[in-house]
Amino acid sequence: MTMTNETETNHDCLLRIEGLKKYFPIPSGLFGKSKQFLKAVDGVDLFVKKGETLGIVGESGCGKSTTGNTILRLLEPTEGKIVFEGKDITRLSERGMQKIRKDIQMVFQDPFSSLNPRMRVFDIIAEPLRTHKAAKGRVLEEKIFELMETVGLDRSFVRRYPHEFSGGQRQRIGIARALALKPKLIICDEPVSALDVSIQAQILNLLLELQKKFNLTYIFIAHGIPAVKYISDRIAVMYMGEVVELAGKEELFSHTMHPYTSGLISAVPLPDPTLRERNNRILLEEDFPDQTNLPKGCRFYSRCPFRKDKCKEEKPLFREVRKEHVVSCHYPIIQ
Amino acid sequence: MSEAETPLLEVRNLQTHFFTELGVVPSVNGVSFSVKKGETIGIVGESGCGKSVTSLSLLQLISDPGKIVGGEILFNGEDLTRLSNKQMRKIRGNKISMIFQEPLTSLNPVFTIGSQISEAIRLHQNVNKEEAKEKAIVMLKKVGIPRAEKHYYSFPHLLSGGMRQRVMIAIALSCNPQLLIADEPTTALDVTIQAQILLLMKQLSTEYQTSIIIITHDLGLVAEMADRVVVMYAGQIVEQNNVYELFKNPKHPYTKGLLNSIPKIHQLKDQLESIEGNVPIPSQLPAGCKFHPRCAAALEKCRFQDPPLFQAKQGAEVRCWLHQEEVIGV
Repeated sequence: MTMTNETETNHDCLLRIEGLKKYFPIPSGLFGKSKQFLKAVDGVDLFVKKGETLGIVGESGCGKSTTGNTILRLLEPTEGKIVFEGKDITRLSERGMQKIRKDIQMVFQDPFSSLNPRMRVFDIIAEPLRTHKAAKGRVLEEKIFELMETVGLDRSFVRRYPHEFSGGQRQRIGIARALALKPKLIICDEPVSALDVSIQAQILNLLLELQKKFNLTYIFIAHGIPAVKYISDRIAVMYMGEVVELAGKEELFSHTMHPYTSGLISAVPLPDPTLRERNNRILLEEDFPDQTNLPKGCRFYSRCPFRKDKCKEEKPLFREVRKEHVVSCHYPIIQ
Repeated sequence: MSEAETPLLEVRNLQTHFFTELGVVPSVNGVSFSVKKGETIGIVGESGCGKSVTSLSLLQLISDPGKIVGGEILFNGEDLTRLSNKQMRKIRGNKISMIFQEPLTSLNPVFTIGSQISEAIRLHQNVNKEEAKEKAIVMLKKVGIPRAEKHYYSFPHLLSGGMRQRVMIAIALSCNPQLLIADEPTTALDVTIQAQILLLMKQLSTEYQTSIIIITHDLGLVAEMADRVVVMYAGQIVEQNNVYELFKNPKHPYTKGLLNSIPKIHQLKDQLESIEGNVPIPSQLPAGCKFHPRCAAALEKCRFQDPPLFQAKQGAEVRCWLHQEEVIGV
């Protein structure tokens, strides 16, 4: 909590979420009168500064995408607060939200299903501009050509349909659409996971270039540590609906404190065969807790290689252990 | 060649083409490599490069409109392309096994995992039901499934992705194959689970001296697992070498490009260089070197003449005109 209070007065803070929760009811019992909940996001505090990239990383089911969708109110939060540019948007009406969505855009994982196959490139990129009545006629046309050029698409492609493009080009179309309304924040949900290795680098570099050019702020959500490390300034590691570690990129990699983060990093195969015998790897077991019936202690207990009795009984607090480096672990790794 | 040096598998000039309405698609176009006993080969490449078609061809699992149109696949000296369906069935799952990318779709949802392992064992080994069950439970324990006796009766949907892949490995290894083909075995899994599965595969291959062909787009995985690496692009091998040399001295511009385009987490600062352009569609391959439209070092020659595989320094085989001078003898 200390972290969020500090930034309350900070004018650089573009987005802040406090105690964000999203529970999904699980139909059970007679007539599906559910009493059980899946706690996809369970009390997340985060802030994003203007012009930075906040990476959110974690394995499937950790709640990272749900967090992204809840910020945009594509999913209604169960509890908590979302503050964008100092304004609480948690309970904003749908109409009010529409104005906000001009400033917060999204790039999705699957460039195959996130573009309407019956629409031409022109209409896909034009859609947000038309919806928000931002441009029409000649101006709209010029604007679309300009956007296509910005993301590295040839303007002769404008009449084509999505199926005529490769994965990387489709992702460029998705980025052009996200840029159309000159947003302040772009939430990128696994934008490179579905792409070939050689194309991933193109898209990551494009995102960095655009950030510089338009002073954009990103939330970059991914399960792959390498891409997140490359693009982010600060990184939040999520596990079972909670942020377990948060720090600047270099700090996080040089002084990894949470055993889970450490396990995530050391599980990544390194492209250097001389390092394959490295013996400092932390292998995590596969023993996940039941997400509808979470343990009362640390949620990572069952998989943690360093667990102690206290971890089973007592839930660790999210606390600042080093400067601007917060972690929720009773026994953080100190190097 | 002496007996000891004879490779377990030798693929010579394999060509698998697909005869579609839009024309012939040469998915695999003259691929040659060999696998020794106990060796792990990594085949790397991006989508559409022909790596999966290569592996399916080895097991004669290519179906219409695809066809193996040329080349030999010598397994223990026997050409698999000449075998009948019946003869192939004795080899599949017995001497050569395969694990696939998606462990949920490759297991039958209406049978228990135990019965699926027993099926493989009883098909290839002369054992009765009870013995097959015992063997299956031993295998489940070996691949690290907890409470194997209980899980013998579980259905696939009850297991997590990592556990399902362990079951697939148990099935694949139940008949003690000489060769295991793993096609993107961990792509659908989280990294922490991937690390577990890779470790398991390594341990089992050492224990049983099984040769492995691992097919992947992830160079990190290859660096971790393989003894030798085959890099494929547009249906051809563009570079082949032992893993240490390939990562130390990559020669083909495509291999170099691939290596430069992965973010390195063990280095604090890093700059990603991307390969320009897109992976070509197999039905619309360019003339000359298949990589030249994306190659920064392309010469005039590359646009018209397809380079052969040259023998280059440090034991490499490279399909690139830039390494022509290094020819030791073709």
